[in-house]
Amino acid sequence: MKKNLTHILQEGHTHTLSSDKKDALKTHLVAYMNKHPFNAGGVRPIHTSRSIFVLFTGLTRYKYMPIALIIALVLGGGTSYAAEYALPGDTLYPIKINVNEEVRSALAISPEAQAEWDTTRAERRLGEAVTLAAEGKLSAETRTDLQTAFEVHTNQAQTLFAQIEERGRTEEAVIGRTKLEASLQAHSQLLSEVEAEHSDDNTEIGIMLASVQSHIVPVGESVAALAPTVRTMAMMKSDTATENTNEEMSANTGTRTAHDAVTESMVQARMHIASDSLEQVQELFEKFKDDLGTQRVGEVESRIHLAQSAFARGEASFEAKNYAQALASFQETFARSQELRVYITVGARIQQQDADDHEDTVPETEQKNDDSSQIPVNASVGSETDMQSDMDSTTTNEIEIEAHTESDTPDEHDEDNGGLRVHGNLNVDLDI
Amino acid sequence: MDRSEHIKNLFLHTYEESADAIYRFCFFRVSDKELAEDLVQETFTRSWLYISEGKEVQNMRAFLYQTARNLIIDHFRKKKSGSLDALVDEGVQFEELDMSDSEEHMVDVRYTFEKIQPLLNKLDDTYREVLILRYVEDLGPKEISALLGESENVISVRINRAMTKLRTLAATYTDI
Repeated sequence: MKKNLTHILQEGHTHTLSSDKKDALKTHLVAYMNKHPFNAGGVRPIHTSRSIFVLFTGLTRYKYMPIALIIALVLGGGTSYAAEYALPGDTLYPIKINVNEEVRSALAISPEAQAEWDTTRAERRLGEAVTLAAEGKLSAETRTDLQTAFEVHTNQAQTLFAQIEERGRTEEAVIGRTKLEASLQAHSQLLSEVEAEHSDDNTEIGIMLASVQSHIVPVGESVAALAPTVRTMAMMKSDTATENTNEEMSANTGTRTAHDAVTESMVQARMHIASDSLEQVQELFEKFKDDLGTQRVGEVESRIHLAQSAFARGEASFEAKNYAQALASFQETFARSQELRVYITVGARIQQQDADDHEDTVPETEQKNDDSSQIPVNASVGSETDMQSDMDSTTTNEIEIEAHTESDTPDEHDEDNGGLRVHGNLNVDLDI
Repeated sequence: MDRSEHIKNLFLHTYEESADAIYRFCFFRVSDKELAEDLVQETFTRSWLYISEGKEVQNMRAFLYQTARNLIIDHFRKKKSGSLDALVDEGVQFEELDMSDSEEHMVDVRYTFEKIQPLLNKLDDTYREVLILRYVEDLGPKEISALLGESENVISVRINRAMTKLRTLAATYTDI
């Protein structure tokens, strides 16, 4: 007679803590929890394994980085500011995407922050593509890399927006998606313009453009699904006069018609976002007007007017307590402003068309409220300094830094004049 | 009720639900009741600390298992490869996946869980771990692979190899 071993093992499931012991442990746990109360606000060190792993990944690909650079990064020099304007092919470009951007990824804790950062990263890749394309330097290989990265970040942002929606934060999701859609539209237009200017050699530009355009509709649709009363950029582009708005509004029964009541405070919030955005655009225009070239200046001016009149309509609706209409108008203002933000900044940059001239323009495609890339990074080398009091030391994350010079192991790395090999994990305490 | 109260209650509820599972997981690996109880304690206090700082945990259950697992690994490291003999892996054929009800897993009827336990302890720790997760805790290969960070195929193969070993042990031990 035989018995099934799996069933025997399953019997093990009955093995439990005695109820006394379970209660005793619980009492102890409660005491501990009272001693360490929940504290989501305030400054806290960032020890997420994600940040460590990601930083580590960024560095190992460039194992033999110049010592000075590693020391600067690791021991408190902050992320490399100079790398921020690098383009694919520049020496510092790997630092930009593998270190600077990864550090900022690690800082983005909430889904909203992550989604915002993913959107920014997607924008950066597109901006780089446009800039290179304008210089006639968008090779197939670079285009593939940039396209892949752009798609990854866009998809990730969309996934996060869906999560944000799930949590009931519809407004945040709408705003985030609107920003994304606007950015895609602007880059799409710029790519078309550059494509036209390089008619003899624009295959790669065309491919990139197709990819960007293929993402516009899904993002736009996701905006419409969330907020049936707003008009997406696609709708605005088709040059409808305002009398069509009502029909479109009623036709657009997204999945959430009944979900969100349009409240006065919601509209007010959107109004503030829209007016801030509009203001930012006007400032950007003043700053970059001379760099845009006459054709773009004309285009931008007329679009600013459209954004301004949308805002005025919003204000009027708001005063008339017609909140749904007001929201739609402020949404339009916001979307148009975001599109302009990108169009102005990237447009100004490519107008320069100077291969060596990377140092002047700050990447202002990014929102003003982004964290500055000057983040003091204090790395602690060695075992964890935290979490000592109540427990034994954890799985220690040790970091071994071997410095080597040319004289060491000459067979392996002849191309470097000394570097630093970093093993293990890097614990990073950040003061935000 | 404010948010921190809510989170605190949620966590204590999680404790009620999961303490036994974590205990079993620890106990069957370290074979020491008191140690297992300490490990449960530490798993939960440590997890609480993480949450109390406002960090998000996607899957609480997985997080607890992972924390417990890390603590167990630490424990074994301190003991310097532990007191458990690892069986030499000789000539084990690659088994067909998912054979839980086949003849291969049948053993003498006199076996009970208590009697199997010492044999479990003779298994290599990675084998014991998957068997506990799969059969004692009833987690699927997919969940286990997510927990341990290894592919489902690797997990399935390991489960089958582990079962074969255990069965072999059960067949060779005569004084049940």
